Amino acid sequence: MAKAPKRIQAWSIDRERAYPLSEAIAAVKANAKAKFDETVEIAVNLGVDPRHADQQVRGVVNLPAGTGRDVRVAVFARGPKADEAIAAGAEVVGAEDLLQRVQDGFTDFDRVIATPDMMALVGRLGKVLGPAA
Amino acid sequence: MPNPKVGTVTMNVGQAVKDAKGGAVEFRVEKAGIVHAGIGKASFSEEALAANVRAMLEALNRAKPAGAKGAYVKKISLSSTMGPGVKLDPASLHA
Repeated sequence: MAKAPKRIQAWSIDRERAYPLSEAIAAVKANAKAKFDETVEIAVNLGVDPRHADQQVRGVVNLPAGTGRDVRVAVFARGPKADEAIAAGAEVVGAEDLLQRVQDGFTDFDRVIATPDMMALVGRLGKVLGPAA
Repeated sequence: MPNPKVGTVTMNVGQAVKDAKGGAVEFRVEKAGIVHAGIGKASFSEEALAANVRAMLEALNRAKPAGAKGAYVKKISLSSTMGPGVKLDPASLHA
């Protein structure tokens, strides 16, 4: 069997032990040795069976310290709501024009936000946007 | 895809854009019953990461489904992109 790379041999944690929060974070930071700013991830094993519809877990959370990533936002809105979106810093704002651009393959954004009245339009983009947009 | 459940279909467009830019993370349980999410960068301070972890776990508890039986949070792990997984002791969070 090939030897584990030095990067992995250098790991300094006890994989069996459950760490308290501050120690766990220190350990993750100390072991992030790649040549870029690694993303810190969390995985939570929940006691639910997602095959049951009544045990789905989903939602959003606003991280107080942010994600460390620039999120590009596209907004479907009209009139004053469109202006509001631009003022808040959205990258692209539009209605039918934006719909056409996205259908033509423009997907240079990470998140889509829409006003309720625009959902009829945006619904047509389901295929392009996918579930994760 | 905008979804009213996660607040991306809204009349309050300005706030939604600010939230998305300010670190809103969507999460969804996958088929084995595990939730994954990115919660920061290794360059963040320990306090910032801890705050994000706590916010994440609070959100999970809020999203607890009525149908859930038994222990809800079974195991928690943290890791960096190429680093080892570090088990987190759930009991330490209540301290």
